[in-house]
Amino acid sequence: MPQSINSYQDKDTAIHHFNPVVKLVWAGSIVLLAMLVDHPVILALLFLSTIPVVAVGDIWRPWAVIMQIALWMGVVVVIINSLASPGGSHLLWQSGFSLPVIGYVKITLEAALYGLFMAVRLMAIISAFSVITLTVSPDELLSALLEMRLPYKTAMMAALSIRFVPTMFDDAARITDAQRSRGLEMDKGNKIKRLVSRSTVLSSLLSVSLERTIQLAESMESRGFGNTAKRTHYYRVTFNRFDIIMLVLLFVMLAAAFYFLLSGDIAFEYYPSLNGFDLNVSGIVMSIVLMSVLAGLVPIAWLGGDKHNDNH
Amino acid sequence: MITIENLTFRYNGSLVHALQNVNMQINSGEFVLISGKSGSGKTSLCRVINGLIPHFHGGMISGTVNVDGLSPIDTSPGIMSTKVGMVFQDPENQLVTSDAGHEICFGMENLAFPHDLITERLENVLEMLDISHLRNRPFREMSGGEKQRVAIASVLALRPEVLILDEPTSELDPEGYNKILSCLHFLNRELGLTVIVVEHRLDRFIEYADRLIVIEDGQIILDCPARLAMAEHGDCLQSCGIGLPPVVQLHQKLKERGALLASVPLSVDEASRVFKEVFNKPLSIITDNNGVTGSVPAVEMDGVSFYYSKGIKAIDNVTLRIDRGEFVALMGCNASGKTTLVKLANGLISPDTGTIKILGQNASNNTVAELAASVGVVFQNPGDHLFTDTVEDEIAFGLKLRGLSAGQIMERVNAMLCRFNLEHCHGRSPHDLSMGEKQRLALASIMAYNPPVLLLDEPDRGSEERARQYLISMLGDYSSTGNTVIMVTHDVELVAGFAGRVIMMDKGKIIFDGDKHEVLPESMLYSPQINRLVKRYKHQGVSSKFLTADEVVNAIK
Repeated sequence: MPQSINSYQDKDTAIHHFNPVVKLVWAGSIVLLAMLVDHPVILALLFLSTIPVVAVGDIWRPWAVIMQIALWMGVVVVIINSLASPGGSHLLWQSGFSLPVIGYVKITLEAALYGLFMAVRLMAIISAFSVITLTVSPDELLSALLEMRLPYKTAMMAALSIRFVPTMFDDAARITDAQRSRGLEMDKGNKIKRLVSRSTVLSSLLSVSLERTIQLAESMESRGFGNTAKRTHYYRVTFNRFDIIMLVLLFVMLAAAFYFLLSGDIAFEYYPSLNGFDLNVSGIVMSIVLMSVLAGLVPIAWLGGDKHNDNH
Repeated sequence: MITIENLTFRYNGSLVHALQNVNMQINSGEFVLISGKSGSGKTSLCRVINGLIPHFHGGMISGTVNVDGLSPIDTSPGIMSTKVGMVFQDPENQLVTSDAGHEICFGMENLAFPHDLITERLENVLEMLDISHLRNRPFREMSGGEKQRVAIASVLALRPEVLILDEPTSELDPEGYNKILSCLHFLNRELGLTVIVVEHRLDRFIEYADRLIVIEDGQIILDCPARLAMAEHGDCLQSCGIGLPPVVQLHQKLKERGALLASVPLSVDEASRVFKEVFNKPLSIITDNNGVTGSVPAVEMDGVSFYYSKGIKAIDNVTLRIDRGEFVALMGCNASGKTTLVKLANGLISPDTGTIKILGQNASNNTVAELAASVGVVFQNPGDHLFTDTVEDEIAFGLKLRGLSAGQIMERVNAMLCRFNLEHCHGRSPHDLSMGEKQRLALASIMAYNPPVLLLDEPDRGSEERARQYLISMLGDYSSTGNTVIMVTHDVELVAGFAGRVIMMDKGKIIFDGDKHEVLPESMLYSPQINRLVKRYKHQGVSSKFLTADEVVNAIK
C-alpha cells in the first residue's frame, strides 16, 4: 500500500530512538523562544538549528512537504504585514490613490522586514513541530505526555489524533479515487477550479471519519477506557545519562534566554526605523548557546542511542 | 453464563424496537452462532451483553440481563470487560494504539492492573494466539487477519468468560479468516471459553457451533442446536435470507430426490462420510457450455507493470484480454494487486510499462473523468462514492454529465430507485442510509448511465446471502446485454455459482485465468466446499470440477 508520507514512520535513526520527553522539551523550547524573541538573527538561528535534526532523522522529504506549506503561509504573512502596517520610516512604495477607510496604501522597508521575520518565526515553529510528528510515534507521545504529568484523557486525545492522521490521508486518497471514477473532473481547469472540485471529498471524508470515531469509541469503551480514575501505565519512558544531560542543557539555555530577554539585551526594534541587524555581546553569547544546545540534540542522541520507551 | 429475560430495547430517536421480548440462555463453554440479515438486531443483542447498550448507545430498555452474576444494564462496560470481551468487524477501527504490545496493554492499563500482572498476561496472550512475532510490528505493516488476532488478544488479556465477535471475518481474505477460525476453535474447545459469533454466513462457522440463534426484526425466531437447525429449519433460514452451506444444500437436494442419507453434514469432512454412497461411482460434470464469449475486446492489457515507490512491483507484467459481454471474477489474497488492476483499468493510475486499451482506445489518452463514461467502478466502501445531498441527485449525477434531458433523467432515476429498492429513501441524504442501502445506491449511481465496462471491488462485502444472489443475477443480466462485468471478490461460493471466467492473482501476477471449472479446483485457498468434497472421490472416477451442489445433483440424474 502506498503510505501517506506526512506522518510518523518507524525508522532506525538516532533521532527516532531518542527520548520522546526530551524531544518534546526541545521542540517546546524552540516554539517558546520563537514566540518571545524578536531579534531576526536569533529567529533565523532557531530555524537553522532544527535542520541537522531533520537531516540525521532522515525525514527530509516529508519535512520539505510540510515546509513548503509553511513557506506559502510565510509569503501570505509578508504580504499582509507589508500592506497593513503603516509604520516605518523607509518608504518603498505608495499608492497614487486613496482607498476608503484605509487611505493611501504604503509599503515600508520596516513593515516588509517585520513580515519576513514573522514568517521565519513561523517556519521555526512549524519545523520543530514537524520533527515531533515525524519522529515520535503516537504511542511514545502518549507515554511522554503522561510522563510530563498531562491528564490521561488529554494525552490520549493528542496521541489518537496523531495515530489517525495517516488513516485520514488514506481515506482521503480512497475517496478522491472513488469520486474521480464517477466522472467528477479533477484533472482539468486551473488550480482554484481543481480545489473547488475536490470539496466534495471533504464532505465524504467527514462522514467516513465520524463513523470511524464512533466505532473506535465503542472499542475503547468495551476495554474499560475511563473506568478508573487511577490508571496504570505499562510503557514508561526511561531516562539515561544523556537524556538528563540534554534536559539540563535545555533548561540552562532557557534560563539564559529569559535572563537576556528580561534585561533587554537582545531586544530588537523594527519600528520606527531599522538600523542593521548587528548583535551586541549578549546577543552573540545567546546565539552561540542556542545553536550549540539545540543542534546538540544530534550528538547527544548519537551517544545515548539505544531504544527508549521500553521498560525491559 | 448469560441469561436474558423479556428484553426489549429501542434506540433513542428510533421509532422501532431494535430488540423485542428476547429470551435466551447461553451456557458456559458454548460456541453460539447468531445470524440474521443486516439490521435485524444481531449487533444490538451483543451490545446489551457487554453493556454498550444502554451505557454507550442510549435508549429505552426493559427486561433483565445477567452475565455471570452481573447485570450489564447496571454495570459500566469497563467492569463488564472482565466478563465479556467484544471484537468488532473492522480491525482498523478498533485499534487504539499503533502496535500489538501497546494494544494488548490498553485494556489492562485502563483497569489499573499492576505492572507484574500486565507483563504476565501480555506474554500469556501473545503466546496463546501465536502472535509473539507481531509484538513490535506496527499495524500498518500487518494484514487484516493479523490485526484481527491482535484485537482478539487485546480483549482476552482481561480474561473474559465470554468472547463476542461481530462479523469478525467479513473484512478478511481466505488466509485471514482461516486463521481466525482455527484460533476461535482453539479458544473454545481447548480453553473452554464461551464464544458468540455474529455472522450471516453459516458455511464458515457452522461446523464449530454448538447452537444457532436466528434474529429477525429484533426477535429470536430460531434457537436450536446447529445440526438440528441445518437438518430441519433450512426453509426458515432461507426465508430470512440466510444461505445454507453448500454441503447442507447438497444433502437437502439429494434427500428431496429420495436418496437415503445419514444425518446432515456440517463440514466437508463429515460430508465425505455422509455422501460416500453417492460418490462411489464415476460422475462427470455436465457443463452447459454456453460460454460463447464475444469477440469484441473491452479491456486489453499488454505487458503492463506498475511500481509503487521504492521499486516494489504492484503489477508485474500482466497481459490479458477481456471481451464485451464477459462476466469475470478477479480473485486473490489481499495485496495481490486486484485493486491496483482496477485502478489501472479506469485510469486512476497509469502503467509504468505496457499499454492498456479500453474499447479499443488507448486509456492513457483520456482523463479519469473521460474514461468514466466507458468504465464504471464501484469501490469497496460505498460511503466513498457518495457526495451529493440526496439519493436522487446521486443517481442523476452521472446522467447529467452525459447531457441527458431533465425528463430522461427523471425517468432513469425512478427506474433505478425501483430496481435497487431505494424508493423509500429517495429524498434522504446518502450518508444517512444503512450500509446495505449505501451499497445499492453506489451501484445504482454507476449502472444508471450504462457504462460498457463495469468494475466492482468487493461490492458484496458484509451483505447477506439473498442480497448477494440478487446482485449477482442483476450483474448477470447486465453482462448478457453485451456489457463487461469484472468483479473483485473473496466469496468463493458466490463465484462458483455464477457462470464465467475467473482470473486469479498473486503478488501482482496473473497465476490462473480461465473458466471457473478450470481455475477454482486448482487453488487451495479458493476452492468451494463442494469442490473440496468431490476431490476426495477422485479415485472413484468422480470429476474434480464440480463447484456447486446443483452441478452434482444434475450430474447424478
